[in-house]
Amino acid sequence: MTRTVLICPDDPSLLGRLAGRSLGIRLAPSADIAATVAMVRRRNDLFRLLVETPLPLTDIEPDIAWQGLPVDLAVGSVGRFAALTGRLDALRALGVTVCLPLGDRNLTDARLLSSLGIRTRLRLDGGTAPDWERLSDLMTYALLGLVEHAPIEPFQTIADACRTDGRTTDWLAALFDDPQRFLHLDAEGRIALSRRDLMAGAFVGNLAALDSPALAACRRQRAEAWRQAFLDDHFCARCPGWRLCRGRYAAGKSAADGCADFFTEMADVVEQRAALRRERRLPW
Amino acid sequence: MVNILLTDKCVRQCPYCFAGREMARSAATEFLSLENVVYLADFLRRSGQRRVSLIGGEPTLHPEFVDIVLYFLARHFEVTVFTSGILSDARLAEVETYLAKASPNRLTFVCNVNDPALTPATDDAGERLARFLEIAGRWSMLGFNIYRDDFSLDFAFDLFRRYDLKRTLRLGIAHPTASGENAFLHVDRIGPAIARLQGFKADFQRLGIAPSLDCGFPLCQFSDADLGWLVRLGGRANFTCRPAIDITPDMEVYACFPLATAERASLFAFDTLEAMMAHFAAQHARLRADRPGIYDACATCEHRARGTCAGGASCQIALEHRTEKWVRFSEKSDA
Amino acid sequence: MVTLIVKPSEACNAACVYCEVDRKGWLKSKIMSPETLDMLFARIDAFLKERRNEQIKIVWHGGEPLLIGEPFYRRILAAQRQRCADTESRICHTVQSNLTLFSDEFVEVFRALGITSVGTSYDPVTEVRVLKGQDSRAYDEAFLAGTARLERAGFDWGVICVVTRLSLERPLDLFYFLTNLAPQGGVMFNPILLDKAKHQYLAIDDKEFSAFLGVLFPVWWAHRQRYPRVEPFHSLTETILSGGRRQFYCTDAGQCADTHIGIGPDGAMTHCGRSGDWGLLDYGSIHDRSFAEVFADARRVELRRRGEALRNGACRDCDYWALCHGGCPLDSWDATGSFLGKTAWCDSRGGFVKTTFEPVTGIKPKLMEAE
Repeated sequence: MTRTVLICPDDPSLLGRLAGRSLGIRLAPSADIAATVAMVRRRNDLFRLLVETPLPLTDIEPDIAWQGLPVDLAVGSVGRFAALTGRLDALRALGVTVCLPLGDRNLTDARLLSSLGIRTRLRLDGGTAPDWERLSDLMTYALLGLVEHAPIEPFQTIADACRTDGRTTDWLAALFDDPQRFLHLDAEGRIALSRRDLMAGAFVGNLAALDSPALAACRRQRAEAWRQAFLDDHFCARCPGWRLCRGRYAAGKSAADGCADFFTEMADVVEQRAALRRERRLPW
Repeated sequence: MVNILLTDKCVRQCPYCFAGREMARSAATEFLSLENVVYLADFLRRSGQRRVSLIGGEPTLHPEFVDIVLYFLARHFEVTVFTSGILSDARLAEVETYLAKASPNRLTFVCNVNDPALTPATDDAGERLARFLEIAGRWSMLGFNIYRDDFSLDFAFDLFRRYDLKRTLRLGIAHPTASGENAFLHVDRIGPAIARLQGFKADFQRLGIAPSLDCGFPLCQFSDADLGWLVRLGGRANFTCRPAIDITPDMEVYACFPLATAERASLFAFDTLEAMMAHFAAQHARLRADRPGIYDACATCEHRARGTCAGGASCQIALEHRTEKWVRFSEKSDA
Repeated sequence: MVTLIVKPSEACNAACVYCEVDRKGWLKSKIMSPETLDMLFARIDAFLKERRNEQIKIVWHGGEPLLIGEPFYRRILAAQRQRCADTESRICHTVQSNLTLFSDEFVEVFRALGITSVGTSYDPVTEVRVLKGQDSRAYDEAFLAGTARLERAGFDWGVICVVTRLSLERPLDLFYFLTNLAPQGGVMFNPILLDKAKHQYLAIDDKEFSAFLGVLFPVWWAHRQRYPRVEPFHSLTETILSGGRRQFYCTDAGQCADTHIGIGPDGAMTHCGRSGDWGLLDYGSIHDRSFAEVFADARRVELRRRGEALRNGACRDCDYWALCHGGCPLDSWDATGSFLGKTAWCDSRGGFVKTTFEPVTGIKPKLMEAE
């Protein structure tokens, strides 16, 4: 089994209680990155730095301390492109992944940034229903774009992970939300199975339970919860797009909600992409 | 270099406007979307293009005009913007704020100006143009469309004197639209107009301004001395007529404004710019199948045969065809 | 390869509406005895020693073969190790189970038996499959939990969907439902085979089944890389592309007289699993006869001549003979009372190829002539 990554805040007392772990650290742009990284690396491995702010990207000055570190910069929006152009080189050079919530303007900005060589990640985690048609357009761009551009997640991971052996694809790992791979901790060390659970205060244990069989069972149960859609004979279980979404948008949804068309189309696009790459007809 | 219409809205109503009819008809999408801006940048890069023209209507009316300019610059394009120079205060402030660091080597505004004496504009157009040239002068050259043979360039030279501009005056023949309803330079007035232009040689020379002739000028109307004058001033002449490729906000393409109604297609129908150019080059060839140039002499002209001159603009020929056909049809009906 | 369909018990924890295990009218409720199990492996050993290049596949069938518990499979393992020390490398095992009873205790012994995949059957149609004394939701819950445990333990599973009249109106629903479960052993659609007089509301005919497949096939063909193992499409396509040289299923190969034996809980040998369910073709007890003797039985000799007779008779003008070889002899018996006629399910092979496969794929099968 792949080593569990603990996503936790840069709280010194919490970090002091962890050893031999792989950690993703949530912190504010104003945090002392160098000190946090040094503390993490003393007894743990650093998975990623998740720099989080509700501010727009245009308000964030890229920090030279990010150099050489895997940084996800989660912002509320991009802000006006014209105000960002002076920072494009820095963002590219630092290898930052810009994480954006779903929203029409953010879909546009993800495309702009990607076309300029800046990796982006959209929070397509089932929380908010996007404009599926626009998302479909972006997905097609991400996977079949005319020229080389930076990856847009989670599309890239879905496409890379999508298999031709009939298996379905679970891409939540691309959003650090796969309970088999990631656990989310608050400053007190309480454990949640997803970022949404963390926000909602839905905890399944604390640090003492980290390696317990009970937590393992809990994680497994969550990871296998997709079977409920089959038991309930939910629309999603009979949807051709299931193989990519695994019912991520199932709650209270019907065929008219657009996710079915999106994931069905995405399955086609992924195959088309694979075929074009085999024939070396994609320029990248 | 392709022309991308950021919008079909305009702030002026020039009598010669060869885009006017096109502006009136295409209203499906008011402004080019940013998604399509990215698509176009990708499309052009894939086709090896490094230069792009942003036109309109008035392109600065696009709410994200400066963002689009900066985007193309960030994608390493050389950008030319064709504008009236009549911008709102807010847009002008954006130009001043956000484009301040843009290199004049990579960004050019072609500010199309009219002679205020012959082509009156709205009340504050002159003031707005002045403010624009004050702020954006270092990126700007002037452009002038000739639609009558009694034109004057004095007003333009005056602007060159007053503002620190790029020392080029782009000169275009006002071509006819498909219906010929605009004020355009008729074939038989092209010669006199060019002769009129020669009358301003001394001003060009004195002010160090290079004349840049746009498409459709017939080479035969220039003497060797005229051509020498052009070259010595660092000017440029385009005696050819090739598809310019105009792209509308709703991603339709046609060869150029005057031929906009003849054949248009969806940009998405083409994989590359080369394929698109070939499509519209075939359109030009069809137009010239019966009549190679605007003058009878074009049929046997060595410059046309060598490709150094197209024999005038295809749209002039197309207009002539249409007129002839209409007359013949009327005659038949009368009979 | 010889296939032994062994029913260690005919008891089942489910009561599926179309179950035919009791068509013969009586059930052998007892569990295969240690002596019979021992004799089974003795016969296998002897057979494999006689035929040095032969292999045997044992399909543990039922009833529900997991109902007898994990200890029985340990006895199987022990018997094989004791009786087939020299030949066990040529023996492979599979299990055909409803999975509702699959638990972690089976994992170790299944692995020791070399089992990598478990076959099952399932119908996402309410009230078709039920656990005795419970409803179909209880069945569904137990089935899905079983698949989860299997996958967790690293086993593949494949599923047969028995197409009934209740399924005919929603072929794509069934197709997506089953392929979305992503069984690595694939998905197979089979027509229901039952006593039509008893089950008119479930029974379908070959044309209806062919039409059902006709809805699914274009989807599968367009995305066959996405759904690689959907049957009968995958095998049919492979068979056609090989010119008919490769055959995948006992019903189509025309060779079951040489390849299949069914064995009941008390060691009674019949032709195959279905013949055992239907109480037909009794070849005697494993305690009395060897496999070689069964394969030499006069009724098998007669069945071997069936192919030639059909090719010169009922199937003479069929362009698709090499796809089915007249089909299953038990189908013939079910329709006519004779094992020697052709299957009544013609339209789901040749008919399907003509009306659906050829137009959708643009491939005109070029099939080898019958031997």
